[in-house]
Amino acid sequence: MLTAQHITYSIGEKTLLNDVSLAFEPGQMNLIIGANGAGKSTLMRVLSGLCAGYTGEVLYDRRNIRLMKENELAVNRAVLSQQVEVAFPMSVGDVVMMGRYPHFSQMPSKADRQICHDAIRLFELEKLTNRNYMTLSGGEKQRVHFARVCAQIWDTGQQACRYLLLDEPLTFLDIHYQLDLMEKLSLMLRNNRLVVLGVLHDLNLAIKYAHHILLLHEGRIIAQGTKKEVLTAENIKTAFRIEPKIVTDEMKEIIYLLI
Amino acid sequence: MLNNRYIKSEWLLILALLTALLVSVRFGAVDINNDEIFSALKKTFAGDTLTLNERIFMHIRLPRAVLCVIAGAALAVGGVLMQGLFRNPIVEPGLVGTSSGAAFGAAFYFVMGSVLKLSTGQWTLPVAACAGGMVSTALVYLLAPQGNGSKNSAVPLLLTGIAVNAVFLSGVGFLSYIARDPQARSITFWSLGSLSGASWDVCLIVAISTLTCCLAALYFAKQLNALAIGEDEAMLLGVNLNRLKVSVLVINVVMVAVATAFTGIISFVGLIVPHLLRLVKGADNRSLIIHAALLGGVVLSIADLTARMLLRPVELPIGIVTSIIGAPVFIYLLRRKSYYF
Repeated sequence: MLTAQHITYSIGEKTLLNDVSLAFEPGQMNLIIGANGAGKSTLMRVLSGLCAGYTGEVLYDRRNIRLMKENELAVNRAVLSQQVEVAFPMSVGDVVMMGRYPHFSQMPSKADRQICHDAIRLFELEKLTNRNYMTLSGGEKQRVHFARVCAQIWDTGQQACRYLLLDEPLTFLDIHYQLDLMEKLSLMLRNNRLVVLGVLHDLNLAIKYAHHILLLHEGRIIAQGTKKEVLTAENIKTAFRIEPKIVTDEMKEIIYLLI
Repeated sequence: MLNNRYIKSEWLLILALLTALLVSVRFGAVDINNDEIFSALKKTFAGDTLTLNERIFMHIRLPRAVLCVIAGAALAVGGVLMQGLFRNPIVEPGLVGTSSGAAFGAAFYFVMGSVLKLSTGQWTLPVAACAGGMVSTALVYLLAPQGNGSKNSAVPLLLTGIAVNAVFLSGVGFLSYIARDPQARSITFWSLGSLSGASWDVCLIVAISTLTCCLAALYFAKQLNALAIGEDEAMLLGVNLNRLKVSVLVINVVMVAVATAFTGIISFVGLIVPHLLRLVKGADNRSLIIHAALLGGVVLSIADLTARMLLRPVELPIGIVTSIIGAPVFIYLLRRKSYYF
């Protein structure tokens, strides 16, 4: 379980996160939504252990991340960042192999190679394995990084809970791969020792896939829970300044927003 | 997957290195033939007295050729490390102040040595240069702002390096200005590099430092690879960023300062060799370090041979040769369409 208690983070006068507390359960699709500048990416950085200057505590399985070494955290926690630039010409296979870096000290083991192979196949990158990463399209690059972070926390039957943090993972993908990816994540979640946490902009995709939604507005959580609890007309208006038509089914469950 | 594609090229480079060694021991102000080489080796082992040519081979040519190979390796591997650390292909090992500090140390010795009654033994100059290189690099590291939250925290280090370099180079300029003519000439000469100071003692010292540093560099190769996708990403992959930075800087400064102390400033080798290799072999740092150690030796041997042969029997400073050949090669590499950086 991933929990955060009373996280406040400011830079100078500006408070980016204000008393944020949350708990994400394994086996669920947890999605963070909010307008630009609401603090979503900052929250992701704090939760993934990249920021130090916050108050409050972040706990991975009740262990405080302030007390964990980088490598200790990296064995079970992978993060897909918004934009990743590779400084030198590297092959796709080499970039995916980076996901296994926390697991070996000098040379990858046979198991590490096998995991990379499987991750590459999962994201249909077989034909690109030897291509120079720098020559790929935006969507292809995104899939390479998906393969990399999945390889990092690949299910090898370990007991420990694994964590996958995704900051706007769908940005560069076409609609086919957006759905494909969400389906893959849903499938991975059947293993109930995995916590998935993502920032998503597309509210309708959030409605379709989320088990738990967290709505951020100006650095505060203004609602969290099921889509029915969070995506009320009032909340959407406060957070996004739009008034969509909320389409529900006969069970009063939200199906989609007509924007 | 990662292993096999490198093996062949390593043997090729080792072959090239041996060839370069063999050619460079034979030619120079005096040419030495194969028979003399064999008899020199035989007599040395047997403890017999050597003829003049055999002595030239044993005590001048061979240590010089060996120093070439080692110093070339040090500079090239230093280049790989610095380019990896700064995630920037146009960085060379001297960028964090090492070579300008070393030049200042050397110039200080040339100009102030007699005033301060420094020892005139053969080790004073290298010690002064090495100390200068280390002091300036330490200054760069201490003065660089610890930019928390900035996307690429190597940038402050790089910019501080430029500033500190400027200070030390103006120090060299000042010392040259107040120097008497022969001292000023020594400074200029040292700044252009030369391997004529090679001896077996020198070879041993540079070999120990270079070998140790190269092995240490190999240990950090994986973490440097992770750095290629960004400092944040490297941390997310479990890299202790501060430890990596300090370790790589220390490895680089020891290796480069020790080599530079005995050879003077040799430019472009540390810049071009990693470039050339990345073009052919890709950017995996483990393979880059191994290949750079070999190719650096080959390149510096060829450069030294050229410096000795071009205006024979006069010897050119090697820094002139590396720059004049290196710069056009570098520009050619940059202009190739297939090169991404």
